[in-house]
Amino acid sequence: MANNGENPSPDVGGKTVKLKADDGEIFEVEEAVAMELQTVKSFFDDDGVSYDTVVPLLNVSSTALAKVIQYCRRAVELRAKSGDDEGANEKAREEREGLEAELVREESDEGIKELILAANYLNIKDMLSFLCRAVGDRIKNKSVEYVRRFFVLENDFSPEEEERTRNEVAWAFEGVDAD
Amino acid sequence: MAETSSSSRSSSNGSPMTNITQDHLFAILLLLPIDSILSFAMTCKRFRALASSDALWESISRRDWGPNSVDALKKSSNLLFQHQQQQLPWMRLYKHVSQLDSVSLHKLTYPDTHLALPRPRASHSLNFVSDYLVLFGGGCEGGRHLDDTWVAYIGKDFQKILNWQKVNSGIPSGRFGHTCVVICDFLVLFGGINDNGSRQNDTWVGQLTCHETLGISLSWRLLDVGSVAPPARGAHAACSIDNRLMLVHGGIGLNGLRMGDTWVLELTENFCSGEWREILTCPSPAARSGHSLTCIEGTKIVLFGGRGLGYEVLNDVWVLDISESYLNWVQILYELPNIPEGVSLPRVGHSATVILGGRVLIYGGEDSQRHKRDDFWVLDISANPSITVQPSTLNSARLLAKMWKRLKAIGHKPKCRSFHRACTDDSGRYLYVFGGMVDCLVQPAESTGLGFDGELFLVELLLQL
Repeated sequence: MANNGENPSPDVGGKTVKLKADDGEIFEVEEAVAMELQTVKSFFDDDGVSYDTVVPLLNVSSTALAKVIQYCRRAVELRAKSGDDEGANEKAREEREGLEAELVREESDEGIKELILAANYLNIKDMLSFLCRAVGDRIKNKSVEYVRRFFVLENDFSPEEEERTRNEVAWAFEGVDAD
Repeated sequence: MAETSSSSRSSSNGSPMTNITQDHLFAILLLLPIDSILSFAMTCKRFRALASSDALWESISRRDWGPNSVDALKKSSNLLFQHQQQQLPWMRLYKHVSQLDSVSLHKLTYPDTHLALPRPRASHSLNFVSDYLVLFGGGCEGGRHLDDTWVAYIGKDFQKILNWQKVNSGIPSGRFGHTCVVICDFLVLFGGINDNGSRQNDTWVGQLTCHETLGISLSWRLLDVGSVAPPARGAHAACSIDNRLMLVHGGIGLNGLRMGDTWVLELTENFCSGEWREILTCPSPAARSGHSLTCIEGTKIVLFGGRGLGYEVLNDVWVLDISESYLNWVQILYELPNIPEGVSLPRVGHSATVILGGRVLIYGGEDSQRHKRDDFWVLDISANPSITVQPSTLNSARLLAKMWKRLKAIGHKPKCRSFHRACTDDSGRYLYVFGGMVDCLVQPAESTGLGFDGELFLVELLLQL
């Protein structure tokens, strides 16, 4: 099992699950953490699948998977801390928001997109939610060209179509200076 | 949400990320301001189609206008299209609401002239609650107060023909210059002055009930507020906040002097009792009467106009955001672009109502030259970059100029008026106006040439659908 430092070792003694990224790298994670990934959970919900089976995650890179595991691990810890105590809940919520902000701040645009793909494939609702917010923040109030570059889009409008579209949406930009 | 992969997996346009579900792209778009959403639409054909989806724009409308308006619009459109369950063209609707530039006025007729009608009056209260218009009190000829409560049904069978019904009299005691707001389905009435010149500070709660056999009735009861209450007043302003609280400002007090205090009433869940507390802020809007308060975006209270201590008519706009930890009245400065007729904006005795789209519609009132007006203005404080910014750092004239927009009015032409009252229905698309003081051309009702009006008319926001 390759351990390049990005692969956090699981606690000894708990039940673990093995996940295989697209490059073949295998990650061993605690069962509770692995079940955060709905795709993995569904994999084991099928009859007859033993927990020793390595889960093949063909669409997820090892870098993305490492970050996802790191996030889910911290998320599970924080959820365990909160309970009926409103004060503890509040603190846990703040810590989780701090964790999300930290994850997002360090990522490049490409990194965020890769994480969204991974979170989408692995079906992790909370992670997708804050990643979408992060994308929203990055493209908010930016120019059309910036949004194209972010999503790697080709302008497939003809000059007439582009002009027509611009006129159709002009009403939302009245009174705003061109950026 | 159904996970459907986009059909353009084979398309070469876009990074793999654009193959994530439409639901997630919608989730991102819903976080963005309108101009960013439309920038998104300008990137390529696929994104234009996505960003133009009516399902998306219904969610955007719900986000920006609130669920009540959207549900009310859907309900009324179902009636229009009846058997065809047609989807409203939400993107076009949103655009037309944002670009609103005209209103259409309709005279409302009464089916049977033998039925009793509410007499002409001013400084009464008019509210829309549970599909009914509710009218209470006011002042009429001879400076007398009125103490009658009238209701008229404005529900789904409404065909612009009204039936007024008198449902109460005597309680609350007669008064004018009081305020009445709607919180949940209750009416909350405060203050006012009677024809003995006594100003009040009592608070009343009104509840509409519809009996199968007995028909409609409205019961008023005095609210227990304990020992703390605002000083008695009339011609103050009030508004309800987010269906929980009522804010009151200024008015003319016991000694006939105009006040500039701010009070909040919080009601218990069952509306049996309430608690008043004063909000002290510095700076705060100057003392005044005949001004207006409206609540937009659930937490921002907009104050406009009125008559000040020196008897001058005011045109300043202030905002208080009730969600902030430190409550502050902030003045919003503005400049008007050059208008040929030299229309001025100071107003007293105007009506201010929140309309569909979340902006404030100002109608009528009296200007600095003591003329009654009949113009319609839309006040949009969101045109301001940040209303929490101190006035001295505002430097953007083009944004300031966008705050006021004069609307064209077509159709019926009612008289110019002041101290009338207006309210919208649930959709925010229809405004009902009743009464007010008008100039009497034929025979002056009083030596000053003033008359009281008893007309009810409908103002419709013109949206070309």
